[in-house]
Amino acid sequence: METETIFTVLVKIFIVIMLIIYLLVGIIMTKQIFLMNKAIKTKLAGFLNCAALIHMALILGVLAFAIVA
Amino acid sequence: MTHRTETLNSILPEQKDGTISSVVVLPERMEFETQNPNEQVYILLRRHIFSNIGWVLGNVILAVIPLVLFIILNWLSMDFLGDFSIKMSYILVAACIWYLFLITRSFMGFLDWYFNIYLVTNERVIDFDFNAFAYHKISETGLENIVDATQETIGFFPMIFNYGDVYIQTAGERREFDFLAVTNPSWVRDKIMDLRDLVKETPK
Repeated sequence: METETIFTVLVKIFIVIMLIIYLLVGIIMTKQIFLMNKAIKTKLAGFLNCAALIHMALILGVLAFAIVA
Repeated sequence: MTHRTETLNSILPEQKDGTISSVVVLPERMEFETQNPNEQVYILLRRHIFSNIGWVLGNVILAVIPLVLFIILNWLSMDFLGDFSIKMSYILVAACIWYLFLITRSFMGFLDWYFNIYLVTNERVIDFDFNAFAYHKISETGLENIVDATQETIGFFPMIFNYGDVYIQTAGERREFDFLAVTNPSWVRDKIMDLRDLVKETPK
């Protein structure tokens, strides 16, 4: 029972740390997309900015779900 | 109609536009940050769409793996939850992270293709290099600096789908521009050289 608790806590910590790193990666990626959309203005620019924000929202959603679960 | 416009019409006779296309001729609603007031984009090139097959197939396989694993373990009736009796919520979180990773990978693959573009304008050739979280690099050279262009088509798929590399030698500081895996490399090489000649014939 004690082993199970330690294991559970370790897995939770590991997942949360992974997701926080993932969140940082997502922020850098979103910034890069904004920069490139500024450098090259195409018809898809608005759509790509939205997609980058949705992607960030997904990462935050999964992070929240992992913490709650 | 001026001689220059006539010659340009003979080099690029028709417009070929498309939001997600690997070759766009005389694109509309396309601008870039360092564009000069009278600068017009003649050709926009991306890698051939088939060059994305690697990450697309990789993602399809990675998307199927958890499902296959789940079905096999279910079929074998294995107690894969083990002694730790992993809760269903853990499996759900793991699945969410896995598919989030796949979404990111697909998005990055698409962006890598979409933003790595080569532009040929009435003044210069510009090479935009982009990586989703590492760097972005922009190189350019004047059309009049182009010395010669070489095309190369190597491999089974490039032969079938007609794509390949075009190497542009320049007299500028950066000696070579590489247009990698572009559609119809012969056409690209020919048009670049024709546009170079046009610029040299009709100086600003």
